[in-house]
Amino acid sequence: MKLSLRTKVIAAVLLMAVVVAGVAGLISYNVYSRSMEEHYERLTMNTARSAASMVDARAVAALAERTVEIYRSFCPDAHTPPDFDSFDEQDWADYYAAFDEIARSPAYQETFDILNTLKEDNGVLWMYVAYMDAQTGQGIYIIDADSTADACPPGTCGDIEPGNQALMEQGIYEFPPYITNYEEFGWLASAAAAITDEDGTVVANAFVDFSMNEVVADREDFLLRLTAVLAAVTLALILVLSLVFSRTVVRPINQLSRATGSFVSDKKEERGSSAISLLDIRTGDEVETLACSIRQMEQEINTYISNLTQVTAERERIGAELDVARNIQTSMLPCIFPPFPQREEFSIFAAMDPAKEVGGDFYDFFLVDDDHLALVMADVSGKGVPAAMFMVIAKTLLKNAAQTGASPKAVLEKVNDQLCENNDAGMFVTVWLGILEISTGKLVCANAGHEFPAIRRADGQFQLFRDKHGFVLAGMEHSRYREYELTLCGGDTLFVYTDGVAEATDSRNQLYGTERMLDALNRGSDAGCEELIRSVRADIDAFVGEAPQFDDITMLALEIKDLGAGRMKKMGVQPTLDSLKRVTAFFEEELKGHRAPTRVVEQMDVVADEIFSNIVAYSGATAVTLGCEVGEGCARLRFSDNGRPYDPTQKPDPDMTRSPEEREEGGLGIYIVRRLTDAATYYYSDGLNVLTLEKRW
Amino acid sequence: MEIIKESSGTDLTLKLQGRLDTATAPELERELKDSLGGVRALTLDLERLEYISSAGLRVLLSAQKTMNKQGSMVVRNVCPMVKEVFDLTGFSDFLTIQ
Repeated sequence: MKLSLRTKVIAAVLLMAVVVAGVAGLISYNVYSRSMEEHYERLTMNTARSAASMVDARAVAALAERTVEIYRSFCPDAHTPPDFDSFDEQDWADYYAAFDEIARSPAYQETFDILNTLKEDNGVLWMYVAYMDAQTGQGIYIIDADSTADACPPGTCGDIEPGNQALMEQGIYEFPPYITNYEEFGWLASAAAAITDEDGTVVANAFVDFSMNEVVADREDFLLRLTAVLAAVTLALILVLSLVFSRTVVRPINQLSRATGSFVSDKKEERGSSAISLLDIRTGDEVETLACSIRQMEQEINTYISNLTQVTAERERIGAELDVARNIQTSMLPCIFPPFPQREEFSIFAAMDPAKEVGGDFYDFFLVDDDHLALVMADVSGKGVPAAMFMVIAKTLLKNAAQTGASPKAVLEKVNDQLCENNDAGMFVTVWLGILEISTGKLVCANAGHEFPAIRRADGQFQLFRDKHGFVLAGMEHSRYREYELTLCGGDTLFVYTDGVAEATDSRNQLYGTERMLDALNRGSDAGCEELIRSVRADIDAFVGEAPQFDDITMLALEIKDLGAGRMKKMGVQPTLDSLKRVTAFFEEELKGHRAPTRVVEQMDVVADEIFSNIVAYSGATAVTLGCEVGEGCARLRFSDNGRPYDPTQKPDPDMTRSPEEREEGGLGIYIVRRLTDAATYYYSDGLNVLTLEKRW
Repeated sequence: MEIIKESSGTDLTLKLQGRLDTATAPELERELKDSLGGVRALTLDLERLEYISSAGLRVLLSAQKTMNKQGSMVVRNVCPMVKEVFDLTGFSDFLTIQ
């Protein structure tokens, strides 16, 4: 139940008023009654004493003596009162008649007048003189100062009050005031004083009864009035209090509540000054303090919000930059598949999923020359921007070093030393590097602290190849690396990956592990590189479930195609004229080995000479790879170099009809080649000029 | 490639053996430059020449140009491979082939 402050305060005041009024009423009532009672008791006693002293004691003594005498005449013995219960009307008449002489005596009349005057003057209800007969326990009326018909005639008896009886037994004949409430008489204050003669003998008692009915009624009236006044005061108090309370507490609190309630909407509508700042609460108490605090809080919140806005904007900017960084990083990795559409000898696929915006994993693959494919799988320590920056450096250095044609061991050693320079951040990178000689399937690898590669032989299962690890790159200067050699044949598949694969974790903190990876690889083993990687990725995702990805997940798969006998024989040579003999010897050997006609061999010598010498003279290449493939009645000759792009098939024929003087030098070689061969194709890709010539016979 | 030189007066005969290719053509070019002074009749005997490339052709062209000014040049004993190249390149049209 929700109660307003005002209701609560009123209820509290009301409760308090009831309690206070109750207590006050009770106390006032008691004090009032007590003082009234005391007043009446004193009045009764004094009046009784006055009556006792004013009457003539001797006359009363005589009257008393005669009355008792008559009374005794009715008593069966000295200690038993007359048997009033058995009296009939006649008996009562006789009894009272016996006392008639008393009422007629002058002493009676005289005493009656005195008492009656006193009674009328003091507003006494009843005043009478009686003899207390201790022997029979009866009080016997002598004179009742009552002029009405209800007066008790002399001789009327009544039981002595038990309290008075006890006093009499102690010889005390003055009865102190006492208050009784009999149904017959109502509230009475009674007292008696002893009437004594000269000797001090008690002759009779003067009784006074004051009626207290009026007093009691007064008392109830007092209580009623008191209650009414208290109720009125309480009401007035509540009214005033509620008014004051409403002005000093409720209204300011309501203002505060409205102002704070509209804080956000004020903010949204961008009003100049908020409702809180416009508050004017000057109650000079805690409410004002509260208003001040809220004003201050508003200012602090505003400052906080503007800070937060700045921080959020900054964070968004950083997020946008990270997106760009991620794009740059992603675009640094070869991501167009198939990457070498002209190469039939192998297929390759790779994928990198960073855990954070930018990752530290990377893969790379590129043709060192026409016959050598370099494969890199690496994992930089740490994550995020620092790892990504280090990754860029490592990737660039690795590629630069590998493109010089150096062996994996030499590449790793060189790059390690380069990375160790200025590596203040203490980062490092694990690298698996393999350089594949495409024509032979010879794969030379070196491992700098990276995961074991997995290899599947044609028709076999994927297995980890537990190679010898060297130390990580950038870990220690002058580290030495070992390289080893594998031969990949047609149908073989190589799979390299980073620890993000094996260490993918599910929600129960279980690791994915290489066993699961091998199982997944074997399940999807015949589907080609792209499908293979996608199926491993799907398997990891299924394993991990809802758990967050902690590490980059990077995979690369290389499949060697089975080209059967059609595989081209290759040889790398240095582009100098000194190599010319080796070049022609290479083709001659292939052609003769396949029983090509001598004429064809000679023609192809000329062709090889022309093409190779052109490369040497004009291309600026640093590496040349020759390829030769001889079939039934045909041969294909391939020249690939890393020099300037140049397409000899686009060169126009020179004019052959001119005289020697008109002829220009050059242009003849390409022409001869064109005439001695049957077809020529050229493409430039991955920094390589690739020219393929076909000869049929 | 080997060059065998036979000289008598203003006649010069050069017998070429092996391959006249890009690597060896400069050798012949040098030889001609050194020996052609005062020569009226140059005979190139190609009996033992296995093949000729465009670099060799350039040397022959240059020799022909020189000899056009100071006498004549004859090419002898051309094997089929070399003849094919001469035919292809139109050299057969201006070389005197015996």
